[in-house]
Amino acid sequence: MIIAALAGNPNCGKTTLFNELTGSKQHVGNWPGVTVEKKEGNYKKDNNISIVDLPGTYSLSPYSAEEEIARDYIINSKPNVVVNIVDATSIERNLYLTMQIAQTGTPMVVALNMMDEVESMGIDINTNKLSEMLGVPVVPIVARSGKGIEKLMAVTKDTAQRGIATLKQDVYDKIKNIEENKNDEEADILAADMRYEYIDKVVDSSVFKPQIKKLTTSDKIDQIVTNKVLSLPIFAVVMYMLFACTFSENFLFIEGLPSPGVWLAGVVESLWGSLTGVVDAALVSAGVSDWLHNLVIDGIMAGVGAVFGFIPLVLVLFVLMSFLEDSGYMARVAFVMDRIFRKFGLSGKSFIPLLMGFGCSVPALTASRTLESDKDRKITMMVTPFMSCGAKLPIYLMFVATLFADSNRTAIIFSIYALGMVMAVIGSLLLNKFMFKAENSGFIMELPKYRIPSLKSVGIHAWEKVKGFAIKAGTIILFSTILIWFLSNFNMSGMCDMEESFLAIIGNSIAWIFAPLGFNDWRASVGVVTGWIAKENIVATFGQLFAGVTDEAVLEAVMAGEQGLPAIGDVFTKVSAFSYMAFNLLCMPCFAAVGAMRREFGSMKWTLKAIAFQMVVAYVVALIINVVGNIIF
Amino acid sequence: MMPLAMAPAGEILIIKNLRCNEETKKHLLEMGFSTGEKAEVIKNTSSGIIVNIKGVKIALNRGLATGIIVEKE
Ligand SMILES: Nc1nc2c(ncn2[C@@H]2O[C@H](COP(=O)(O)OP(=O)(O)OP(=O)(O)O)[C@@H](O)[C@H]2O)c(=O)[nH]1
Ligand SMILES: [Mg+2]
Repeated sequence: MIIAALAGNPNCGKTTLFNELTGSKQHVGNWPGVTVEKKEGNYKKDNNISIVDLPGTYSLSPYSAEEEIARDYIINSKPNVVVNIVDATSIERNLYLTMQIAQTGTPMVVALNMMDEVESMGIDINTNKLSEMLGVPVVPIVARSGKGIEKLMAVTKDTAQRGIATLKQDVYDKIKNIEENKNDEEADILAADMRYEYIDKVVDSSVFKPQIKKLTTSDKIDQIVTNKVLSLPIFAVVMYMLFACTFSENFLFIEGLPSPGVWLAGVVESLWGSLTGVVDAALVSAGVSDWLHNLVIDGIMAGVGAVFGFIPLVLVLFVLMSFLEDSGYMARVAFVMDRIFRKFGLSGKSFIPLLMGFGCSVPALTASRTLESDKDRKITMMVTPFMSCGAKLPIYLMFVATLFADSNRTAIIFSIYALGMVMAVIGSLLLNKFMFKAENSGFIMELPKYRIPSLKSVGIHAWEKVKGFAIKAGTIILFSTILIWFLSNFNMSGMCDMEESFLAIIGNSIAWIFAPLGFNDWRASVGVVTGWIAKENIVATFGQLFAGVTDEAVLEAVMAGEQGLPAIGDVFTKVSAFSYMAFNLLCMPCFAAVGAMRREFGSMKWTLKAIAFQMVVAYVVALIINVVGNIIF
Repeated sequence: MMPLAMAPAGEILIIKNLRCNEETKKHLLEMGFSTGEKAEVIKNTSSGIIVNIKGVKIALNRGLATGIIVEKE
């Protein structure tokens, strides 16, 4: 078994190569710091080669948490061979890490990536000369298209089997010599200077660059998107498009034009409605018992269907987010936002986890690893769940369809997303003021080249996310649906009226907690609790508990998206519905996200602090909405 | 000699000195800010500076850019 580790600077294409080699579908994005955990897989064409994808790092002396993972793996886990991926378009800077890895004595191969961009920039690289001067094999590749990777793997296997350490040139020895006199603070700096000095020599004799023209297109775009006046309006338009394409009923302000997301959702919902009809008819003609019919139609079809109908919206949201992530724009926003975010006690880099939070909190929490400062990272993690995730969207849509049908639906949904963002800001401000006493750190970030997102990677990314959503609907949601069906149809004396069921008893016993927030109802309380299992569960729960009391025709209309759950209107007013949405947006996230918090904080104490903070914020905000709302309306 | 934070866009500069704590200094070095290196200022705004160094575009906030001492070419 050969273990080959992929190492290199952030954003040089390691994960793209990893996916190409192993057939996996790991997250690729055009900004530094996408991968924050090590990932393993087997080479498709030779199962004896195991590939390890590592987070990107600028050097072997780490600066942030994910860089440490890469360093530790290379130094301590002793892979048989390191495949050092070098972004050939910025070879001088990338070779710094190459020199450091070579110095460790681990057998290594340099993969010169992005050769397609090198060609189009008119750069010419003499790989033989490069290999000779570095003392390690060099193979040019294009990770995105797979060009050259078979050759790369052949060389990698060969290098690993021969087990030879890197050619010890006098350069490496000389640098090592300086480093070993560590008594001097200057030793590191001196060693770094020597590395660059040698790299200059290497590059001078093996890389031929054409005379650079003044400003590239990318420079011009940067001047606009980071412009003092234009940067924020441009960002606002981008965000608006992201949400409007997903859930606007009057897309691009055209009355009655559904956005791609809404249109797709309608199609799926009506398909599910027909499916329910077919299943219903089949059950009736098969003459199954009443309780089974009830379980399948009112339990499973209503519960799971309520979630399924929203998958198209989530798909559209994810496609657009991957598109944004692949373009290179995210790093620019992080830079522009830095000055504003500082004022709240966050860093511009917090922008990336926060934006990912609109998709799902779990990867978003993990993405916070790229924040170098512990304070910035902790605050970012505590407020990330305030960004409304894809699974919370169905909750709003359900209420909007029922209670706000006469209002501007898009505006209502927007206002909830905005509430989450505002609370993230206020929450950070408070945490920064009262919980943390650390000075602000600096901001430094590489701005990647703008790239046209590849259809393949956008497709893969969105598909993976939606698959996760669908799997959740088929497992956790299905399971809780059945459980809720049982608890809401039975009590100690057998099958019973819903109002006397186990679930009603449990719900009623905690409903008083929420009474000040405006929703003193057992079904609403149960919804909050099932929401902790998965937020879209709230919709599944309501689908059962509220649709169960109405007839089939209404149920079908609900599923087809033509009508809300009218029974909700008996329990909620507009104000209490808004308060309920706000509470579920802000309170403790689902268990999967709590698990991610626990892992990323690395401490139970901090996880509990974060949950307590979120609960208090949720309660206070919902209370204010209920009190103020009832005064106004 | 002046801090990078004061350099106008379009200027080509040479890195002279890094005036910041050891850790930041090392990180800046690893990202390409070595003494004697040429850097081109792409943008200088209130949020910070974007420079082109060793063929890579790097964005820094004003705080960090103040600690990087440069000289006109
Ligand atoms: N043109 C071109 N683009 C590439 C190539 N390889 C990767 N990319 C793009 O480079 C960007 C970064 O790719 P990733 O694979 O996420 O890079 P990474 O090294 O894993 O990045 P981190 O995980 O952040 O360290 C993506 O936008 C890719 O589409 C290539 O050979 N040619
Ligand atoms: Mg990666």
